[in-house]
Amino acid sequence: MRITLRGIGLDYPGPHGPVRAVEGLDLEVAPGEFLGLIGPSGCGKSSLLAMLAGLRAPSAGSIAFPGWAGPRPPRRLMAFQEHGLLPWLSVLDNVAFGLEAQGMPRAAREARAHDMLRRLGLEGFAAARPDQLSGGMRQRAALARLFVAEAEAMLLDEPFSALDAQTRVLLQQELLDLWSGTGRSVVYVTHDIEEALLLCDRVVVLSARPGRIIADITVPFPRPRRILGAPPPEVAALRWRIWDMLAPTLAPARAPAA
Amino acid sequence: MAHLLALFLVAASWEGAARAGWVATLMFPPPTTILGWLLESLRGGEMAEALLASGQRLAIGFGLGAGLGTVVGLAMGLAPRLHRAFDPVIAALHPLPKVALLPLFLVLFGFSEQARLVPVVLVAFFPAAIAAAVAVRGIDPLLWNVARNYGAPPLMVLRRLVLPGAWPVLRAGLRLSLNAAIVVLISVEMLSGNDGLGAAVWQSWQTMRVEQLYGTLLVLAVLGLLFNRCLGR
Amino acid sequence: MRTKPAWAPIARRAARMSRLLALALCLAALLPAASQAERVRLVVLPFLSQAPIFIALEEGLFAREGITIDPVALSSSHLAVPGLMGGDLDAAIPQAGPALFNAVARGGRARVVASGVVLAEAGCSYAAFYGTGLTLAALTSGEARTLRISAEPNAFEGFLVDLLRQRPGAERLQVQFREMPVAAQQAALTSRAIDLAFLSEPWVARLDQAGVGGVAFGAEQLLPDGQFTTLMFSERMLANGQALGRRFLRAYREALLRYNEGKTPRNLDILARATRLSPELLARACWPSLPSDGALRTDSLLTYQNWLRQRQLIDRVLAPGEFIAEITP
Repeated sequence: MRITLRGIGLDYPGPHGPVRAVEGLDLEVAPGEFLGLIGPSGCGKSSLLAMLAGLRAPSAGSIAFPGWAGPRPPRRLMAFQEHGLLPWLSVLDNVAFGLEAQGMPRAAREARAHDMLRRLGLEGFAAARPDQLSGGMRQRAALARLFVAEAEAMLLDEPFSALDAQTRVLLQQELLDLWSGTGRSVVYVTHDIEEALLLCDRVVVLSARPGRIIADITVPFPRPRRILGAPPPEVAALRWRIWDMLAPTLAPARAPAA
Repeated sequence: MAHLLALFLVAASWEGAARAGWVATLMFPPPTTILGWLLESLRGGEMAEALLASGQRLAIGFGLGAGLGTVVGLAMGLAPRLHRAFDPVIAALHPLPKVALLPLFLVLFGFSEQARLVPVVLVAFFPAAIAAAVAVRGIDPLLWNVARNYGAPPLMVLRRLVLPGAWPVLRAGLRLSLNAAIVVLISVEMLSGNDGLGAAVWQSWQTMRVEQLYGTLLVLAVLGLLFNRCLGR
Repeated sequence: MRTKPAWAPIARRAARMSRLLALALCLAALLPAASQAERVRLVVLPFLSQAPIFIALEEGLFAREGITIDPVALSSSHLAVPGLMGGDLDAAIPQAGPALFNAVARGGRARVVASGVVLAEAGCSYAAFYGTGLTLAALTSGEARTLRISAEPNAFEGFLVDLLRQRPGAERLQVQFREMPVAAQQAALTSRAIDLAFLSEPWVARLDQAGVGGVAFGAEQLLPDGQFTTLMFSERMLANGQALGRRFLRAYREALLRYNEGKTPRNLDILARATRLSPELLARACWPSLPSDGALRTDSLLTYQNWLRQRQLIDRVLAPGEFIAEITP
């Protein structure tokens, strides 16, 4: 499924009238593409993701799914920076949440959720509550909830930013393994240039507020990728290119981070 | 265990003081006298009768009041417009003395049993409504986004998000609601009612049988303990 | 049972809750004032039945006996019994009820010393069953009938209702007690939710004025010469050869004499201020009988005790000598 954004603008109410967070943004997400969105704080990355997910309407412009023939718009699902697991539900019920929302009967959805938990090494924690899990396991469960729901597009908002470095690497690899072969599109928002380069096919760099695209870079890193292995030297070189683009935007954005 | 021991020590010293004549037994009868009365009234069935009468009133009054309060409060928590409309009404009506309005309720409800329940229903309504509204508004916005994100239908949102998310605060509200209902029920029964624990309390003052007062209060305390235990700590 | 000399139901049920609190507060306030020989802590209630107290206060009759009164305001004289028994209060005119009998049976030291209100034939009824057209004759005609009465079955009015049922021709009366605050009784009578309400002045006059109905029968018709309220003294008043009690009683008797002069302008003025009732209503109301000799009707107290004992509201029936202290002038 292809997603096209045309002339997207987003305002949000500020103390002195509306503040423009995103302006005149055109973007296309190709079918099966792993797209990275990177930019300074307050550039509207997360808002853009919420608009893609349909949780928020753009103030200007349009989002379209050319070629999509279903009766309803294609399903886009988000994963959040904090895991967003419901603390009073078991891990199993949390993972099956999206399937339950689709109206899948209990037995079927639990079977699928169990499968997914097994793939992520969480099968022993199906009955546990989220607060009995470590941070990494919680984010794993959140990934399981996302992937088991089989959306056309998955929108991830800095899902690993709160994790320690080792856990992050493990989860990045697991994310790639889960995604590979699904043919689903992923839009991945991050602050971390290196993470974007390791995970994504293409990295779109946004400017400080109002967010505009300042670069659109294809990552020359063949799949399947091993996160722990050293990436090719051209990927390492890209890192400094993006850094040079972002560095001048950091200063003004630092103060009123939205 | 420590509680029981403390209770026993207090009772034992009270007993001793009463027997030694250090306290006026007319107002502070020794615990054995109180227990004696309690056992007698349990055996004679009077206590069971009073408990049944009060229990029924409490079940209906608290059930209706707290139930309605929970529903209204949840609705208020879910719909900001309802909250804006009802919050001032609740703020204005909550502090009104429901027992003082009993004669009015009696007239309005044709001097029936329902009239005696109205103050109980009302007093149980407000804490539940307030707690439910606060509880729903206190649910993490992220979880609302999660539910919207996965397209959870309204009933599932209620069952999986709203009710469990609101429960801890709502439960505290229900406890307050229950205790308020008990206090008001006893007052109403003292004011108007031939039966129930409140009538027993009133009769104990009428006849200066103070052991009946303490015995009934003891039963009430145990009931309160049990009920509140049911609603968690 | 409430010991409420005025039967002034204005404070009756709506105030029950506050009574206990009021007593506690009053007792607490009194603590520092203890142990002054000439001072008497007297319960003062704004009821017509307390008339001699107001007259004695206003006319300086207590002062003439060298007694300084510390008035204690209670919402009901019913609350006075525990205070009198414990010695925290010195004098009051409560109703002679189960609280008094039980307290004395259990070693309480306060005693009844003189009569308060007596239910006497006086051309009008101070305390009465009020209805909308019912008469005693109709109720004792032998007809089967269900009566819904606003009264407390275990209180003095319950005793009166039983006396009604014992009358010839009343055998087939079925009585349903409907307890309600006095404020609701008028509406209940008007809407026929009850057939009779037990009332005392000034409520009888008020309901008459509102055109609600009329007195069906007076309490004095059921219990002629019945002792309704009594003057009670704490142990302290009876100590030292009853010295203080005797002085108090002299003032009380003098006040009774003045009260029995009737609705004189002076009495009307004193009582209107004390009860906060309008002089018009007070002039129309039936004033209670307070015999000027202060003699107690012990027979009716015995009958009442027997009824209380039957209902197991008192521990045992007391002989008059147990709860009455004769004060020799």
